[in-house]
Amino acid sequence: MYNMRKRLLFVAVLVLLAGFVVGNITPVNAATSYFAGYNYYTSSVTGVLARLPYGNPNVPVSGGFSTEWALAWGANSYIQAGWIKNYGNSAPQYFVEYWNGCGQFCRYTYGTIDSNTHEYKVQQSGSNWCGYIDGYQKAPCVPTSQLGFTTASNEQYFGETTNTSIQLGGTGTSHFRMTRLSFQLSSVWTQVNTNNLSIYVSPGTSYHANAGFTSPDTWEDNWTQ
Amino acid sequence: MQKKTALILISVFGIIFGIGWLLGHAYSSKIIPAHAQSNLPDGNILKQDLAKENWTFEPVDPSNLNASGITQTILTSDKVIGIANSQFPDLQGTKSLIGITANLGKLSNQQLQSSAQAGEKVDPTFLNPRLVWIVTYVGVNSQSVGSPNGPHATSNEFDVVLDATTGEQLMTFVWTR
Repeated sequence: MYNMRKRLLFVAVLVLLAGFVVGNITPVNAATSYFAGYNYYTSSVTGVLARLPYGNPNVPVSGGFSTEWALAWGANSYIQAGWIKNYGNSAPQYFVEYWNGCGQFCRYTYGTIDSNTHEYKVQQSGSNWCGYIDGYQKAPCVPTSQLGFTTASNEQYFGETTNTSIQLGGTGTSHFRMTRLSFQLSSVWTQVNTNNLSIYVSPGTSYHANAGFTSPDTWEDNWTQ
Repeated sequence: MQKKTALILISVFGIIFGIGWLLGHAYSSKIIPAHAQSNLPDGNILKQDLAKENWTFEPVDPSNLNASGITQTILTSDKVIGIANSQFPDLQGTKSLIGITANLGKLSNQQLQSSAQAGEKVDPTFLNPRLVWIVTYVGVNSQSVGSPNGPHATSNEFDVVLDATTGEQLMTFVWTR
């Protein structure tokens, strides 16, 4: 009987320790994100711009986020501006992000976005590239020498989300929208030739694009599951 | 009878396992390694690092505001950490969190001043030195947004910049140390 009690006590301690070890294991939050959007390929570009409507999608998973942005790409580096809503945020925020800074990449968020459509732009300014929200330069700008390119060779207009159960930027009747997709070349802003946009959808995403251009200066694209 | 005893034993061990799990979870959430505590950035570290990203940050000693010519009432570090925690409630619960600290100083951006002088429209928030608290969460991971085919990384520090007198959130930024 005494031995039986000892064994039970031993097993109980083992079980307690097992629980402690399992509880101590840190889970890794690796929320997979899915991109959907368009590339445009023109070299010597000094600015990229898009107007993005308000979006406040649900972000249910820790480490998750939803975002839309315009981006300038060159030399395996980038600078982008847009809105982002991270897990735990009650509302989306403006953001500017660039590679080759803050240890690896810099991301700045600024304030909470109101429900209007806003203009997001990245543009060369002197020897820097800068992010702009509604025409106002945000701090900081990044020197071209640090960023890794002077002019962009690829312009990108994308949405990205870790939650494929939402309609990014809207509902079933008011879909993901971007307007005024533009680039700056030789100091002149030009809207992209929509026939030359190259679609990109992340492998595995449940989104697919049904593109349509409703007018020469307004682009609307519906993302349906 | 044996079946009943087995059920009781399974239940008891289940409860014991649960208690162990809770203890382990609490332990891993609260423990802050001594070496990690020393990695919390002070004002001078922030000054150096922010300068690399074209910011000017002049640390201010909150216990000696007069020496810096500051006469207005400012929020305490505990208060601003509380504000940041309430604005980003998930950060405190992050398992990888190493520690939270707050540094007081004046933050501005020279580039904004140059752009404004050149006639560009600029966000005035940091046009002139602004007294702010920077609340730093060390050990909080953030994934880069980036581009589908571009480089990606995960940062390990999250900073919240708050107005030192009102507590208004002015900006956040991430860092990789």
